[in-house]
Amino acid sequence: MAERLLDVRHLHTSFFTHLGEVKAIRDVSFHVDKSEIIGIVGESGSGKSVTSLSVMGLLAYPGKVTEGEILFKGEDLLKKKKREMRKIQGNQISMIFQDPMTSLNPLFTIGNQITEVLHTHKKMGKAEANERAVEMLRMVGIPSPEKRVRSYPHEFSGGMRQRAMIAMALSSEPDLLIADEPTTALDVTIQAQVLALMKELNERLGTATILITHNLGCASSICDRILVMYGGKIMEEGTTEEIFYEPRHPYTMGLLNSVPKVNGEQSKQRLVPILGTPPDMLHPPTGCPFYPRCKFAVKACASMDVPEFQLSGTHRVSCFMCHPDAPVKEEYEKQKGGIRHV
Amino acid sequence: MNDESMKISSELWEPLEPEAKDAEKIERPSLTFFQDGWRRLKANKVAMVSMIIIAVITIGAIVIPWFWPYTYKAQNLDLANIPAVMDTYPLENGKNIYVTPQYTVVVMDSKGNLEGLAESGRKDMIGKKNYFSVDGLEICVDYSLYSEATKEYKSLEKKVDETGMVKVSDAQYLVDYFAQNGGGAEEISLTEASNILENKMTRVKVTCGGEELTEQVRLRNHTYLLGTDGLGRDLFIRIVYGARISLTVGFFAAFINFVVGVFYGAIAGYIGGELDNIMMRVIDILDSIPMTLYVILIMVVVGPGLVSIILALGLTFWVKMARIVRGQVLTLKQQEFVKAAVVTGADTKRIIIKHLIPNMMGPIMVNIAMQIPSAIFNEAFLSFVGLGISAPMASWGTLCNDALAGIYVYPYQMVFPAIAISVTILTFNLFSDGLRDAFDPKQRK
Amino acid sequence: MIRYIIKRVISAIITIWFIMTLTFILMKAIPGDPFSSEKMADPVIIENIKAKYGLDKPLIEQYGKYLYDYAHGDFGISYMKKGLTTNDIISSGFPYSLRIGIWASVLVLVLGIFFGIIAALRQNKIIDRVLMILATLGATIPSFVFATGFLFVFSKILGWVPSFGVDNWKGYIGPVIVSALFSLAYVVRLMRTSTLDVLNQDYIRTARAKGLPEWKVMGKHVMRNAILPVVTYIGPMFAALITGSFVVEKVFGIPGIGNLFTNSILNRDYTLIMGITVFFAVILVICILVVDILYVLIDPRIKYQ
Repeated sequence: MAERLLDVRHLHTSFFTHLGEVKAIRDVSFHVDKSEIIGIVGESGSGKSVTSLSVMGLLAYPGKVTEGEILFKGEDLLKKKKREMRKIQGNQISMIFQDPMTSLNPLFTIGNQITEVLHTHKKMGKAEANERAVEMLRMVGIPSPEKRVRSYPHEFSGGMRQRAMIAMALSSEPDLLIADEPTTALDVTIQAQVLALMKELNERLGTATILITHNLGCASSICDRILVMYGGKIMEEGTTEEIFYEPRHPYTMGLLNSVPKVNGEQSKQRLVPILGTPPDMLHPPTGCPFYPRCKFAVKACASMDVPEFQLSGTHRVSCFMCHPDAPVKEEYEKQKGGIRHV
Repeated sequence: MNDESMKISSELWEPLEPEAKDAEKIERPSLTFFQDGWRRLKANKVAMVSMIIIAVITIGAIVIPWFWPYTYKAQNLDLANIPAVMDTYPLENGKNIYVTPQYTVVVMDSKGNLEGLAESGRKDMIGKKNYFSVDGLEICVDYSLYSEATKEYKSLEKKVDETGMVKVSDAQYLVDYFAQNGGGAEEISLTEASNILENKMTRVKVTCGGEELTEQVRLRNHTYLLGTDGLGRDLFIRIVYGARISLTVGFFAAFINFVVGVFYGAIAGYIGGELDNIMMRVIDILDSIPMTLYVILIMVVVGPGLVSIILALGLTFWVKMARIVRGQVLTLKQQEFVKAAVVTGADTKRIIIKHLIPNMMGPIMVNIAMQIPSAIFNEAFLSFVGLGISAPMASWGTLCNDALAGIYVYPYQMVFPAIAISVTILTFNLFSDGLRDAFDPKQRK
Repeated sequence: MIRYIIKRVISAIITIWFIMTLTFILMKAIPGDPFSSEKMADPVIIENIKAKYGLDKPLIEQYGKYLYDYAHGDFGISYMKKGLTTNDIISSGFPYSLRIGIWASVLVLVLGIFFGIIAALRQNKIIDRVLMILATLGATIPSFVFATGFLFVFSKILGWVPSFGVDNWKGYIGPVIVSALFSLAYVVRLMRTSTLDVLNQDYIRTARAKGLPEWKVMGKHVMRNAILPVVTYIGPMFAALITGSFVVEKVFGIPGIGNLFTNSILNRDYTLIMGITVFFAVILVICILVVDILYVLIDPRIKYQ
C-alpha cells in the first residue's frame, strides 16, 4: 500500500455566528497518499473549502474545528501550536486559491511574493531565492521569466496569475498541495491548461494534490480518487472510474446527470438538473442531508444517521439504497451505470 | 456492514412523502425596499433613539416659542449674567440673595423666582464693601478678602524660586485657606497658589445686619431656565431659536444639495459621453477647492444672514451627491427596465424622474441625512467666526461666540449652546449612520 | 512616470487658474467698492485711491494685471492695513499656522494609524468600541467647543498652559491638539475600515497560507495596503491644517493666517481676501499634487490608469 501522507479522521468544523452554530463539516474522514491527486467535489456550501482550510489551519474567526484528528505524516496538526503550524504552512503543505485576481498582493512584485516563501522557510539569500523564483516561473510556463519576476500582479492575465500562484506554492517543494477551485475563475481553455500543468507538475515533482472543485469534469481529468461532499458530509468516495461508472449515491448520480456529454448517442440526452437548493447549515436536516432533494428518499433517510457502506477497497457510500434490505427501484438501478447508462 | 444492528424496520423503508421534504423550509415574507430598510432601521436602537431626539428637538424648536414667556430679544439689563444654578444666602424674611461676580446682589424668593436687583446703598471703595438693602435689611458684601489675596499673590509671583515653588507662609490667603480646609504643605507650586486664588478660596463675606451669613443654599433659577446672557436675555429661548436656525439651515441646504446634486449627477451619468466628461472635470476642479473657503467668499458677496448661509452651503456642498448619483445612474442605465422604458418611447426627462431617481432613493436619502449635520456644523462655524447670523438673532455659533469673552466667569453661557450643537450633530450623525446601514449597506465605510 | 507628473502639474495649474478667476469674479461681484462705504466726501480723493489700486481701469485689464502679478508672486497691497503688502501680512501669520499644522499632522498620522489598526484588530472588543465612540465624538463636537473646553480645564482650572498666545511651547499644546482632533477622528475610522477590509482580502489568506510570521503578514501585507486610503487623505488634511483653523486661532489668540483671513473678511480688505484665498488654494493644490505623486510610488497599479 502507498504511504499515507494525510489522514483526516472524524473531522467536525463549526462556525459560531451570532445566529448560532453553523456545522459546516460533520464527521468527515479521508486520506491522501503520497504523490496521488484526489478530488473533493461538491456544490457551493457543501463544506469542501472549509475542509481544506481546516487542514491548513487557516480557519478564520468564528470558525473552529470542534472534533477529530488531522494526521500529517503521522502528526496531529490540530495539536500543533501556531508557531509550529507556520513551519508546515507554505513549506510542507501549500495552498492555491480560487480567484487569482485577488489572491496576489497588488502592491508587490510576483518575484517578491515568491521569494518571501523561500526567505521564510528555506532561509535562502536574495540572489538564490530570486534565481529559484525565475526557475519556478519558467517551470509553470511563464514566458521570459527573468523579466516577469519583476512584474506586478495587475500586469498578468488571470491564467498567468494562477500559474504564478502555482509557482509560489510549489517553490518550497511541499509534500501536499491543496488547490481550492483553482480553475473556477478562469476561461475554459485556460482551465484545461492549468489542470494539465498541475498534472504534469504532480508527475514531475511527486507532490500530492487535493483538488477542490464543483466541476466533476475537472476532477475526472486529473484525479486518481474522488470524494463527493454534500451538506458537510462525504456522500461517496471512490476511484475516478468507480465514481463515473459505478455511482451508488443518488447525489453523485445527479451530479453526473448534470454534466453535459458530448460524445455519440448520449449527447442527445437532456441535462437533468438536481432540483432544490442545498440545506441551510444553521439547521441541517437530521439523517441524510440530501434527502429533501432525493428522488429515492425513504422514511429512514429523514430519521436515522446514514451508515457508511464499504463496497470495495476504495469505494464507500453513505446511502440507504446500498442497504441489503433496501427496496429495488427501477430508476436507481438504471442509473447505477453512471455516465454509461442509456 | 451486515450485522444485526443494521436491521431497519419495514415501515421506515416506505417512500418519503414530498410534504415531509419541505418541512424544513421557512418562508420569509417578501418586503419592499422601504419596508425592508425600515425593518432594519427599527432594529438599530442607537438610530431609533437618535431619531426620537431629533424629533423632540424639531418639535421643541417649532412649538416652544409660541408659549414661552420671553422672546429672543427681550433684554433685562438688571438681570444680566444670572446662571441657571446659584449658590444663595437665605435671609430671615424668607428671601434668598445671590451675589454676582460683580459683587451686586440679586434677590429671589426661596424657590428661585428672581425678584430683581437689591437696592444699592453706599459703596465703600476703600474698605472694599458694597451695601444693599433688601426689604429693610442691610446687606453688606465684603470683597476685600479677594482683592487682598490678589495683592498677596502678586508679591508671591516675585518670590517664586527656580522650581516654581512658593512658601505658604508668605501669603495670608493661603494660610487661611489651609487652616479652613486642612492639609497644606510648607511649599506649594505657583500654579496651585493661583488655582486656590481663582477657584477654591471664599471670595466674599456677606453680612446681613452685621451678622455674617455662612449658610448657603443651592437654588435653581426659576425665572430663567438656563440663566441669562450678558444683556439679560433668556438663554433658553435663544438656544431654542438657535435650534430653529440650525434645523432650517440643515434642511434647506440638504434640499438644495438634493436638487442640484441629483440632477447634475443624473444628467451627467445618463447622457454620458463628452458632456459627462466635461461635467465631471468641472466637479473635479470644484472638489479641489476647499469648500469652506468658498462658503466664506459667497457669504462675503451676499452678505451675512440666514438666506445667504443656506445659499452658500447649498451651492457648494452638492458635489459629493452629484458623484454618487452619477455612479448609480451609470450602473442603473445598463439594466433592462431602463432599456425597456427607452424602447417604449419615454423621453430622457421621464426616464430620469420616473425610473432612475426612485431606484436611487437609498443612497440619495443616506447622503442627504449625512449632509444635514455637516450643514449645521458649518453654520455654527461661520456664526462663530462672525460671518453668520448676526444680533439680535441667535444661532448656536453666535451664542458660543458671545460666551467666549466671559468663558471663565460665566462658563454656563458656553456650556448650554455647546451641548445643544454637539447633541444635535451627534444624533444626526448616528441617525444617518443607521440609515446608511439600513438602506445602503454598500456605502458603509 | 515623468509624463504622469507633467500631466498632474498641468492640471494643477489649470485648477489654480480656475480658482483665481472664480475669486476675481466673486470679488468684483460684490456690490459697491470698499471705499464708497467710508465717508469720503471728495470724489477726487476716491478717484485718486481707485487709480492707486488700479480700480479705474477696465475689468479685463484689471484681470490681466491680477494674473500677471500673482504669477510673479506679487499679491498686491492691502486696502486696510496701510503700507503693508499682502505678501508681508501672509508671511507674518503663516509661520504660526505652519508650525501648528505640521505638529497636528504628525499627531493625526501617528495616533490615527496606530489606533485605527488597534481598533481593527480588536474588532467589536471593548477597546474598539471605546475608540469608535471617541472617534464619533471627535468628528461631531465642533472645534470651538473643544478649544474652549481645553482652555477651561488646562488653563483656568489646572493652570498648565497659558490662556492666550504662543509665547512659549506650552502655548502650542492646545492649538495642536484641538486642530488635530477632527482629522484624528476621521483617520482612526478610515484606518480601521481599510484594515478590516484588507484583512478580509484573499491575498492576506495567501500570505497566511505561505506560513509567514504574523509580524510580516501585518507589517508588510496588511499595513501597506490599508494605509492607501489614508495617503490620499493626507494631502487635503495637511493643507487644511497648515492654513490654520479660523476657530482654533481665534480661541487661542494666535496671530496665524486663519485669524488674518477672518479679519480680512470682517474688514472687507479685498486684496487681502483674494491674496489669502489664492495662497490657500495653491497650498492645497501643491499638497494634493505631492501626495498623488507619492501614491504612485506606493501603488504600482496607478501608473497604468
